Amino acid sequence: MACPEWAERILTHLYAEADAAERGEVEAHLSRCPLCRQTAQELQGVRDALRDAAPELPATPRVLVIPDRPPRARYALAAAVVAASLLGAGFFFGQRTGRPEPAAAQALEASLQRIERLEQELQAQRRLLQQWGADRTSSRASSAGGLTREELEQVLASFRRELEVGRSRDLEALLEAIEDLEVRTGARQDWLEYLVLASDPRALPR
Amino acid sequence: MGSHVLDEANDEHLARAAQAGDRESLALLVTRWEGPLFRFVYRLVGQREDARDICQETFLRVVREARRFRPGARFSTWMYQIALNLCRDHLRRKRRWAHVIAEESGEWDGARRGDAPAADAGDPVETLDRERLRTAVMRALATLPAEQREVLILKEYEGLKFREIAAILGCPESTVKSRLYHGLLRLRDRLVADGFASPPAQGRDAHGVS
Repeated sequence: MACPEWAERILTHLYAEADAAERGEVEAHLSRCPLCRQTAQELQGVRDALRDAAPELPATPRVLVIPDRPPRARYALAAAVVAASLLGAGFFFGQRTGRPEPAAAQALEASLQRIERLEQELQAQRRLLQQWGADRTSSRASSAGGLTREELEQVLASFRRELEVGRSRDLEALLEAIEDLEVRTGARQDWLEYLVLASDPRALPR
Repeated sequence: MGSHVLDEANDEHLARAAQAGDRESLALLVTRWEGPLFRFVYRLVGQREDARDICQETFLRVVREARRFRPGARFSTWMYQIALNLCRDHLRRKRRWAHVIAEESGEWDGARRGDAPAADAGDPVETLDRERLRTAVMRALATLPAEQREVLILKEYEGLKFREIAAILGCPESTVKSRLYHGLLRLRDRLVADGFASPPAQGRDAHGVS
């Protein structure tokens, strides 16, 4: 160990952060104090070992940031990561421009229309359910025994639709990520799009 | 990125623009920092997938937590702080440094084979020695207390100034130096124990540093 009062200053010197005056003082001390000199040498030896033995790092994965979709940012991000790790492509952003419409844009357009339709259907279902709830309260006596088969089917249908809307949105995010990738790289990625679509048969064009 | 005019802009300017929604600025920041950030995080957490997730999250927070970036602060300091906290949370959650030691060497071996096969392709004995040293150093690093390891990585591998590290850790420079000093001594002892350096001189411990 170095002299306690010199330890920090030796370190500053070792990492070349001492100014000229400080450097002179530390060097003067090192020339006088064998213990500090030896410690300095040993510390430098450890530094050399750290440098020689620096682990080689895996290639830096591309960082993908899609900042403008707060509710589903994570999902879109995950999709983007999947897309990029498959393709080894650079980062990109959820940005659409007036550039030529790539393959994914067409699928995205179809998907958006589908989502819009589903959402309308979902709204209609909700209204029906609310209506049904109101009827139920007003004629409690007749339906006190629980849900009729018809009612139950309606609830389930509503649930299924919600699920489908959710899935469609996820699909939209994936396709959009692919589209962004295409815009960025200028290359069509039909196979990736097919892969995504194939993972969800309901999404295939009808 | 080529000769884009933004290339000249400093990080802080880019950070403010990115936070205001400018994607080009964010893209440039990411391009500048994804490499250093990933190296830093990877050295702390020891696993590529985890490191990648933490890097993604760091940049997301850079965008999301715009308001916490104080004017006059350095972007890199702030970014490292976010990343460091995420790494600490990650390591705390996993509490698995003991495993990481074992896993690390395997993963790094893989990284070497995959990314840099020619780096050590000279004398096989030398290659083996270097490999042994590398393993010993990694094992020694993994046994350091987290606070010493953090400082060591920021200093040795990221090459930051003491002042910058102190800003990231939110502690005085003297604390940074003390952690580094004790970390290095500890590494030395480990390397000596593994036969990679000559033992400390007699009488050394007559002077103690607290």
